[in-house]
Amino acid sequence: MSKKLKFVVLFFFLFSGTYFLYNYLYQNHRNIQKEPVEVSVSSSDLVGFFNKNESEKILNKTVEIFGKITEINSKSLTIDNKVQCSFEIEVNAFKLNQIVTIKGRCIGFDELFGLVKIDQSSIIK
Amino acid sequence: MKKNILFLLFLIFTISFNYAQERFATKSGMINFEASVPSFEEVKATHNSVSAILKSNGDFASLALVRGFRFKVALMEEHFNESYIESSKYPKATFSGKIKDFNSSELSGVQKDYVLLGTVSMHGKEKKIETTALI
Repeated sequence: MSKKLKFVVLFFFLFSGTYFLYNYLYQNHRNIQKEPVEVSVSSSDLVGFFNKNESEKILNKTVEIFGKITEINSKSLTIDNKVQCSFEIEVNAFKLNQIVTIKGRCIGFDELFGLVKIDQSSIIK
Repeated sequence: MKKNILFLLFLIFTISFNYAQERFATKSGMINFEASVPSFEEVKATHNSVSAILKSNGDFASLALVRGFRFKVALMEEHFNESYIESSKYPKATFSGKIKDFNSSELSGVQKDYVLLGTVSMHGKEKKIETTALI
């Protein structure tokens, strides 16, 4: 093998190694909005998962829920007083009692308020 | 690293209170913590939907679902959840305690320091703390 070829091969491995390492270290965040929905339920069924101790079926998963808006805050909506969906943007184009479908990542059950929490939400309908 | 996170946990609550039945409550409190070291990617996370309740007698309780902490680097968030805080085993971080000499009728627009006593529990461990709360 000529010296030049060795150099090219070495350079190639170094370059691709750095490239993969960089991509591993700085991989992108999950994009919940683009991920396929894994569970699609009503707000009360979502609470049911936690009451039946089946939370591992939905935790950290992309879920889609539907229900009536019962509370509006600047960056979150509460659905049927059972599920709180947090958004990364301001949500103010909504009315109380409006029926909506929301997609987001389920992060758990909050005992203080008795609410299931969803973050990185987006409106489907 | 686990201990570091516990010790360096720095809680800042920016709480927008809703007044209801002699208690103040929020569902969208904020917790920040930072455990950065020089010349390394910053180790810092924010949680934007922390629940907290403050009763008029000074009882205070707060709960954060640890999976809700967002880091700048996705891999760091993954390691935080899987290797350090083990959020599937210990999904919650809570604080419950009492504010000393608190009287809700004395509250005014002026900020004041209070002593906050209580217990932090996270990652299956509990730790009593005493700190100052600015209200």
